[in-house]
Amino acid sequence: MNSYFASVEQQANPFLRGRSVGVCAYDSPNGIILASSREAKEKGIKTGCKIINAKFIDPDIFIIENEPAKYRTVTEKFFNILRDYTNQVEPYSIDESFMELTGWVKDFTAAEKIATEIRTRIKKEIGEWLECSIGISWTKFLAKFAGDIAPKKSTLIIRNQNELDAFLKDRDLKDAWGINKKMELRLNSLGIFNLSDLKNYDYLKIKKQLGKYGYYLWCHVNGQEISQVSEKETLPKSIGHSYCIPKRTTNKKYLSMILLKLCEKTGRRLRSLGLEAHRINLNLAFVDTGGINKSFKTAEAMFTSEEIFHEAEKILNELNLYFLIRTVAVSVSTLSPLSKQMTLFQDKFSQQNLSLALDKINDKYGEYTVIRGQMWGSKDLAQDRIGFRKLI
Amino acid sequence: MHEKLDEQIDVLVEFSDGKVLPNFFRWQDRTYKIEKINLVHSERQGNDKIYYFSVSNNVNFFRLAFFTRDLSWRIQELYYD
Repeated sequence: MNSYFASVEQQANPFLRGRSVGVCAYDSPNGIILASSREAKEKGIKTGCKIINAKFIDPDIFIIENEPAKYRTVTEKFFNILRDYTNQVEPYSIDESFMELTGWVKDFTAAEKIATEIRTRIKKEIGEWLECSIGISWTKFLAKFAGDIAPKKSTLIIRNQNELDAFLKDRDLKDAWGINKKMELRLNSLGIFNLSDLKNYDYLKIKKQLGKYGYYLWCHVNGQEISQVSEKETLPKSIGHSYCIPKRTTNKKYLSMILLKLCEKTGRRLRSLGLEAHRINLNLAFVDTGGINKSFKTAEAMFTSEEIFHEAEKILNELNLYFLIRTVAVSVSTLSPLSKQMTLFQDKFSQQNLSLALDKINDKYGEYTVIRGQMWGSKDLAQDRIGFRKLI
Repeated sequence: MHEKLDEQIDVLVEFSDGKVLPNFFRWQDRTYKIEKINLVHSERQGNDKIYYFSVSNNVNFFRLAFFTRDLSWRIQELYYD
């Protein structure tokens, strides 16, 4: 979907159409734009722009705080449209999805017709202001690549190797899904400077130099399918939450309260998936530049919010904070299904059961109906947000 | 002008085509005709499910909320140029 959050807001309020709109987490001068409308992007107001700067660029910009429930509802509606065409729909993020059409259409022309129909149905059944770009090809990677480079509100098809070569010619490495700045530099060190270079590189050499991941990248740009579209949800690699704090500080008591809330949110999601975690990560970003990132494998598996907080707070307490903190992030990884293995610590099961019982109460009566005493006063901190490249 | 509100309103609703379509609402002794329903979304808050209707006429945008717990309607937002 194009300029998704902002477009949904413009769909809801027609008086915002045709003007700059910036969606943010918090409407304050130092707040950050999470998503900007097409009109705002044309003026140079993009994701990450500070609100104060956005207003300088366009004093007429309308700033609106994001509303996750609104976007989730629209997302569910458009995913339901996609499910009318195939039973293999794989949501990728809040505004992107893969569809496997093999076996449902006979050729690319038929697939293009479906793309046009989807676009029309989104406008008719969800909202006339909503637009999307669609990519079609013979592999998942190439379909995403086509969708990413397609002009707004259009469909781009890559039908064969000749068309692929034409689209890859002189194309920047970072235009490809899975290549960030770090990987770009590694590819550059091999003499690979664009996607054509990558496609034509010796696959044995790249496998030797960059391992499995490099090989997969080579396969992707050569049109070889590595992963299928899967409608089954796979286990996440990690679960976490971050928060850009309103009060820049080095005060550990304040940071600890925020950390507790982030650990509670992380724990809720972990438990809702029936998982436990074996690794903790804490990241603190400084106001100016840089930050601290600490991660370690825990002696015992984490399941309850207290267990996660206990490990995260240990890290925080050991740190010397010389610079003001602007963002706190905690995550857990090395996830596995909850083990029922007996331990020497008899009260572990009762703590797990207590957490699950509290989750049930909060599910029924609302988040934070029952909270730990330490979280008193934190209701307005770290509120519900949709993470980048997340569905929820 | 953009205002956040939270006031009870009376709403005349049509149920047709499997949809809930607010047609008019009464707020502060004035009756407003709804020309367009631009978006409907919902949210769970604990035991309650709330439906939000983003509606407009040719001058104003309104956000109306329907609370299923007690079947009440409230106006939550107003915008006009």
